[in-house]
Amino acid sequence: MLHGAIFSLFLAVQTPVLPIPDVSGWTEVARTDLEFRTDDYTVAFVGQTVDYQHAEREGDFVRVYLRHAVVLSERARARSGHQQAQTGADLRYHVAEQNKILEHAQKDGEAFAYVFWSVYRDERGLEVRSGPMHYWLLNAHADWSYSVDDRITVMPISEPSVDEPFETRIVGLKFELGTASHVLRLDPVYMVVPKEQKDGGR
Amino acid sequence: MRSRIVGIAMLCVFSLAGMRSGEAAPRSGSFMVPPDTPETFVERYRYLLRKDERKAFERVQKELKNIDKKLRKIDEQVERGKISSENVVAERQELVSQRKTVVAQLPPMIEAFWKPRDPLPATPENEYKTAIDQRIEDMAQERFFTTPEAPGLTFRNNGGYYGDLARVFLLHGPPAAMSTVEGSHFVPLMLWLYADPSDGGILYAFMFYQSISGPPYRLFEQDTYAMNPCAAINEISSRRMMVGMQSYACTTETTIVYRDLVQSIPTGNLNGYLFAWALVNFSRDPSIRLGEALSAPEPVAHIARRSTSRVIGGSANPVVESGVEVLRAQCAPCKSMIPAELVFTDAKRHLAVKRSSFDWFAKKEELSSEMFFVIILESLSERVPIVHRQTVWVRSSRTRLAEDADATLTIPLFKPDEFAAVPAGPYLVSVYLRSTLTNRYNAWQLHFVKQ
Repeated sequence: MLHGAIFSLFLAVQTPVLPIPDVSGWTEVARTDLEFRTDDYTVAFVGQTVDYQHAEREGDFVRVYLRHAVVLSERARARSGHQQAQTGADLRYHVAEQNKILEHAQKDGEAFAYVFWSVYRDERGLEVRSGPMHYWLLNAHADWSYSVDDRITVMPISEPSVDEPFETRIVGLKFELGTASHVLRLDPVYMVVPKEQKDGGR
Repeated sequence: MRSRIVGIAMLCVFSLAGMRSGEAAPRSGSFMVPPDTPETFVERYRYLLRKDERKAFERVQKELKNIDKKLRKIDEQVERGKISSENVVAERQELVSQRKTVVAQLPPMIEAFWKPRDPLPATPENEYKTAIDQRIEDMAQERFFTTPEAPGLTFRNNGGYYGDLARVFLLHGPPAAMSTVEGSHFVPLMLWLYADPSDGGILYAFMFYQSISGPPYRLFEQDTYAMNPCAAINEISSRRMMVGMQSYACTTETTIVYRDLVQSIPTGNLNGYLFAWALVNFSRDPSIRLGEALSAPEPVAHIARRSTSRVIGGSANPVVESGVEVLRAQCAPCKSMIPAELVFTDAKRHLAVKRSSFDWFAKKEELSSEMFFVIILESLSERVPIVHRQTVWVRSSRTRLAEDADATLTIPLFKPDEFAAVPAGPYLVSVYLRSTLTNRYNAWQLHFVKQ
């Protein structure tokens, strides 16, 4: 806790712009996919968040936002009850294929945002944040922006559909930190649903 | 009536859930089932083999049969002293060797049989084979008929492994609900109901009946009687005397049998109405027929192949023709991103990308890169957006890349005349850029007011 606080104080006073955190040697404690639904059947995987804990200073944490090549996973659009019974099999094979492609894409994940924070246990045994939150975001031309306590906001971005201009669909996620922004999104070409699928045909 | 049936089925769906494979104590005495060996594969899994698969296995089995026949003949002749065993040693060895070669064909065929039937391809175990083998074991040990709904029944007394009960059990496992009924005017009946996983309704209703003389239970073929309920009722009548066209007639006896069945009190949670319904209905969905449910199930991988599901995107592995080399971008981070600056004003509209940030096709000295971009201008007043899509080729050379990697190359987004045609006003501008070679991309979104 003390190390974390000193670290934060040192950084706040001495260096207004911090270098991005180096998490080599830290312990991974959580991993989540960055994903969104474009319709009832389709999920787009655009990246991951990984939480790391310092091996010795157990109160220090870093969340790394990773981006990778977009993987769009669209399950079968089943029509009738009898077909739904078969869809179970479809789905399992589909998920196996999805995981295979996703695993390959995630191997090449690269960081575009970091968050650093420290916690300590107070006399009640509760975890309390110590010091400010530190944020880093990579903008579109690969320059890092840094901020203390001005958090990264995430919002979905939508667009008119390519094949249905009167319909709007979620196509990506926009991360903002001050004036810097970073967009993870689908290729608009992916948004075209083949007609036979749209009709629920199999 | 339909909602009542569905309701009953829903009630019964889990009535047998407690009777899980392996929980009940095996009854004493069991019947033989073909063991799980390559040579007995067809006998053991006969109901799962599709026509084309069966042919291939039968061809091998025929070869084995011929060899075994020759071997038996030799052994018999030796036994009878017609020939000396020393004279046939070579011939016998040749046949044994042939037999080994033929048997060796079976394991790959068996593997090819099970593989597309694996419901969870991500796991090393084939859960379908495990489930089928468990059903066979449950039948052999008579574990299934230990519930109060089917007192005193065994597979052994109902045709054994090749009986109708075993066939349905092997194909579909234990039913969601089961019941037997006896009456003074009809033969003993047994009903197995399978639920539709999507809504709990009746997916399959397998009706079994005994002849006037007693066991075994045989399948009642609803497909035959779907258009003639009186014939179905006559078929189960305990005083069935009719033959030919008479068996289709609706008589006073038919009415008595029907009334007796409807008013009967079956074992378990099902009722007489459901038995009467199942005489002419196999499923709540009329398009599902008994014959279809008894045929060998289609492998899940084949079903999945017809699926309209899709997974697209992911990292691209560039494939190029001979003599062409791929030079990947040297920037960081560049695995999935193209670092670039969007310039979008009334005067200029382009993307500025460093030379080192492109993925290049290199042919001798010449470099080229294919980029795809989309611009969408959404106006607050116009409902239909302006969408501009284009693929452009950017060209450079190895020398320039080596000497000035940080130089900025521009990708124009609108021609002057195209931009002039855009009405004045506020827009939300979305720009997307992708390298067609590696699928690396970048995207921007900004607000812009055209003067």
